[in-house]
Amino acid sequence: MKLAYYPGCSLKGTSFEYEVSLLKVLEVLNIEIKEIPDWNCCGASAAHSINHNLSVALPARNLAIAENNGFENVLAPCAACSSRLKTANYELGSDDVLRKKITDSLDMPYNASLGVSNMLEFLLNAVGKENIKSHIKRPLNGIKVASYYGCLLVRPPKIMKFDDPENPVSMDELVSLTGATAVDYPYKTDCCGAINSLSKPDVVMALTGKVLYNIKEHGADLVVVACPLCHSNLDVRQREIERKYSERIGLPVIFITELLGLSFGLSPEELAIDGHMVNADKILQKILAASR
Amino acid sequence: MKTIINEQDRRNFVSQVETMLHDKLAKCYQCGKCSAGCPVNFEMDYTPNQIIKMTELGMQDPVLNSKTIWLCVSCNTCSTRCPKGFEVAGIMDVLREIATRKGIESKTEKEIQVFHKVFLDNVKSNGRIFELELVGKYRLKTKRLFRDMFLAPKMIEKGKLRMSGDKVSAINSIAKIFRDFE
Amino acid sequence: MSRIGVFVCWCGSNIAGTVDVKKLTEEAAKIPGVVEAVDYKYMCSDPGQNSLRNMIREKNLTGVVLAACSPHMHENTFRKAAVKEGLNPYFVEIANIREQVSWVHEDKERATYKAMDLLKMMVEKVKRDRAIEDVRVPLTKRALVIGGGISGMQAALDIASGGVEVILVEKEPSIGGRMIQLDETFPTLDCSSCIMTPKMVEVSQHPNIKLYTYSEVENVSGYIGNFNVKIKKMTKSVVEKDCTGCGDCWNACPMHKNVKSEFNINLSERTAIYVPFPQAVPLVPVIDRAACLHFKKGGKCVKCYEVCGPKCIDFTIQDEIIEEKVGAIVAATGFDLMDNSLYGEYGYGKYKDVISGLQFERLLSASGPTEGVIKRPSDGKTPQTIVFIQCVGSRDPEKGVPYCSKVCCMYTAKHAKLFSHKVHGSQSYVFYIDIRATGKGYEEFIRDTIEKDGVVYLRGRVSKIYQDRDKLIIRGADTLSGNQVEIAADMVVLATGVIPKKGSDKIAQMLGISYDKYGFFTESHPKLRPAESSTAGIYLAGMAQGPRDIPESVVSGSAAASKILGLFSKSEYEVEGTIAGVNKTTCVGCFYCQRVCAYSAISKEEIKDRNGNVIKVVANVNPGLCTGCGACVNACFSKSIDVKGYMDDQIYAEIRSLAI
Repeated sequence: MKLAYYPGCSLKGTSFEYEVSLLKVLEVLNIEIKEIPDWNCCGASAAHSINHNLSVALPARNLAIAENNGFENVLAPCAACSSRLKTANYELGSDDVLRKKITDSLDMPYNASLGVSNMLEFLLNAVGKENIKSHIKRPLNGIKVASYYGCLLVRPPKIMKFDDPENPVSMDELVSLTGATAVDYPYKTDCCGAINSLSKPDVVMALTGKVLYNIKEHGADLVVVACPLCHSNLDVRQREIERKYSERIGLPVIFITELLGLSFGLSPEELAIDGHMVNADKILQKILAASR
Repeated sequence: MKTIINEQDRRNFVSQVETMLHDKLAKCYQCGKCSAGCPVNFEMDYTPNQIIKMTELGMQDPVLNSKTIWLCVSCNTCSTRCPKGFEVAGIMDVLREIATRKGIESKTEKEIQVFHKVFLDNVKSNGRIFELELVGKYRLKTKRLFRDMFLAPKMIEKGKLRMSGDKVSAINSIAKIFRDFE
Repeated sequence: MSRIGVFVCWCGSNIAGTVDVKKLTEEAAKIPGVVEAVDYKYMCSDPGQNSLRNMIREKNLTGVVLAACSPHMHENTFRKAAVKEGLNPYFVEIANIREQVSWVHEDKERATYKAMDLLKMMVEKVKRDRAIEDVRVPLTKRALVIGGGISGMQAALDIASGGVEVILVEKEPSIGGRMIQLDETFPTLDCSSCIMTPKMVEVSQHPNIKLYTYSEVENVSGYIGNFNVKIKKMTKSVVEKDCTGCGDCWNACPMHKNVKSEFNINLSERTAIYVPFPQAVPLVPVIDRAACLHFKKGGKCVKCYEVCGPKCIDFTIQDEIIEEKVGAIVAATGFDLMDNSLYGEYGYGKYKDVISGLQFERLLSASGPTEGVIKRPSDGKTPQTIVFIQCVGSRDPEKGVPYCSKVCCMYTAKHAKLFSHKVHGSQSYVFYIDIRATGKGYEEFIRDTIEKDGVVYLRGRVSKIYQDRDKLIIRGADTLSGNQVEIAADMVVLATGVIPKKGSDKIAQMLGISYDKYGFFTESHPKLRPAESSTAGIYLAGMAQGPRDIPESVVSGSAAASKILGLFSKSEYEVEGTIAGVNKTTCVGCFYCQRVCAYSAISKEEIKDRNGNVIKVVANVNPGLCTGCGACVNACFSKSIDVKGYMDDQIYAEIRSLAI
């Protein structure tokens, strides 16, 4: 299987930790991926908000480059990118008129033959639980982990075709594989407001705050995410939320690849966990102490 | 509020929205499940189900000038749970696009509009997002220079804010996409 | 020599507006064999019928052709008029110039031309008609009722009281169906079991009713008046005639608390030997062999047998197949509720205190798991706030069904009302989209619930329910105030949509009756034949036809019964004579006809010589089953089958008439 890798802009910038940890984990798993040559931004939420054609054409360029380079599958670790790639793929596959319009502009053919996977889909379906399990060297027993899915991994279900949209379990399954305890809580799929993170920080802090306090209440030590936008809100804005609501949260937020990496025996530095805003030292010490 | 329905205007607006949406407004039977689950309903001036009904009634001005269409965070909770399978999140995209094409400036949600425009400009010139430039331009345009500024030092320290951005090398192909569709 | 009379009907302007009836009449008179042609404004009226009778008499007609509306409408009217003048009814033919001409065409000239063609064809047909006698089928005057819920019981009681023997088959260990699970009934608040148990006892004591509980109909063959039914009587492991229903056995069963009670919808447990509820009819326990230690552990446990006074427990009794002959069948298989767990956002199955409406009935019921004290399943506390959600599964084409389940608005109001009566100071909230309260006293009941009992109605749906400590948080909307609403409640009751009983599609296939895409049985005519199925001799009742309330179910049971009593009031059943007939001389016995017959009407008949030796095997048509569809005629290689009234020579003559 030839696997294309679509990093997206966040993984090269504010969420570089995601890419660092992802590449490390895949190295351990001995899985090769190849970055789509000269990829461009998927247009994120801005494109679909005000210009439908752009919201299809921008991802389509990446899909077409991948298809024309002989790839069959694309891994898009960013939940927003995978959502945009999947949506464009769905529309191009079901609307011939639109496909013609877009491919004419791109001046490249595209047959919508590509499969797009988000990070969790990739880990569970392409890598497989057994494979992951066989690499676990440092079980995370006793660590309570809340999986936060947000919106874009599971919604809308007719396009994402992934997990149960109301009660997703895929990330919790991965958490359980590492030996950690998956914490159930009702706000798993509530939105953090990412689209308006810069333009409506008050609204976003209200939404993100609800999620974080709910997780805290359910006794988690740690939050895992599979989306850089969720991460930015939950991690980068956490201090601000604590100030706004005058209540401490202190929940480290890490990427699912970082959690797997820890269980694979990789060091926090290798996984760039020190790149997060919320200090994770306490829980990391607990993990490292237990493995010694 | 009182609305005098002009049947021709109503039909024109409905048909414009339905063509872009690939869905029928009449499908909605106003159960309100979309509004019940909307995470940002508390900030909106009209609930999502009201926006659908108002669109169906041809109330173009209040709909296109509403806060609701800009506050929608596209989380798709509405569409996922809609018993009629109506594209609730989709209609917000369509209405935002119509408002943008008409050059309607939102009185209250200008910042959201600016953000989307600055974002796409950034994609247009680089092919990818250069976050520092994006935030800088956005702050300049909205004159909100100091909001979130306290985050910056730590983000730079953590390596989250890069000082230069990557560019797509075949930038012409990006320019062509924008020429064709902008 | 044919002497044909032609009658052209105007049907007011229905026909005359589009067809030139005068011209049509003039032309008709010129057809060879036609002795007279007349036109009239309304042939179906008394003067119209009289003119037909007069002409038959005066002109000594051998056949009649009417150019009028569809034969579905008035064929019977004109046939009966002809019979009064001594003419065989099959010498009356109708050219349909309304549904097939005037209603579907605009050009008067061409419509008239087409009408003429149809008329000519019928004249040629009637010239070649032969007298046909209707077929009489013997009737077995016994009835089978499938389903012992309220509508099936009502049908059985009415038929039995009419003096006809009834076999009532019920799948569960007791009759009573869904209604016996209910607490009080809207809008009168009659206690359901108080009005139901006398009926159940009446059924069990009626000399004309033979009751098979814990039994299923396994096969049905035959036709109206002559059905052969195989009933599988599942073993109860109890000798019914000796059992006194004392209860010693189930009190002794060590498997208490092991199986969820079906009757209480998982809100309580039952033993392996059990009766579903205390007032069960018959009050005879059954052993659930899948749960019983005796069957699971190689016969070791015999505790129930030891305590049984009359020693009527017998672990060796096997399932039994019983064969019965009946003349008519009522299908009253009832309903199920949709699976609430389709709604992940409501957390049914995840949160114990999110329950279905039927479960709430059990909590309200004095014979229920909490003896009528409302306690929530999670911790047994009495709830102070309950949120009711309507249309869960109903009116939801995405996850559920698009139709309205009809009873939920009313039972939800009833639930809220009863809750307010039982728990003083409590509060109910009802989320609704529309309120459908169209029965007698229904709207008043809803208003009373709102105005007197203080139940708060919110117009909107709920998007999500989740647990917050010991409360359930309900995130809904009220579209009238344009608000998102959040309510913290102790319990949530879902008004779950109604679907046909599981397996009712299999029953329909077995009976050969039609059903809709949801699995509800369809009526022969939705308005004019609501009690009849698409198959003669099989009648419908209750929720198996679609959502309906108790009074409607009772009415439909009575309707099916009256149809059957009407059928049985004659000595024989008459079937139209236009059925297939075999020329046994030319039939070669290839039985291609048997393969194509959709009604299993063709059997093999042995022709024997004087000494009883079989000389050939030929096809034989069962008149009770044949519908005269003509499939066999096309399949027959030796041209040995014809359908009476539609013989080959008639069809050819009709076609030839068009060439002239």
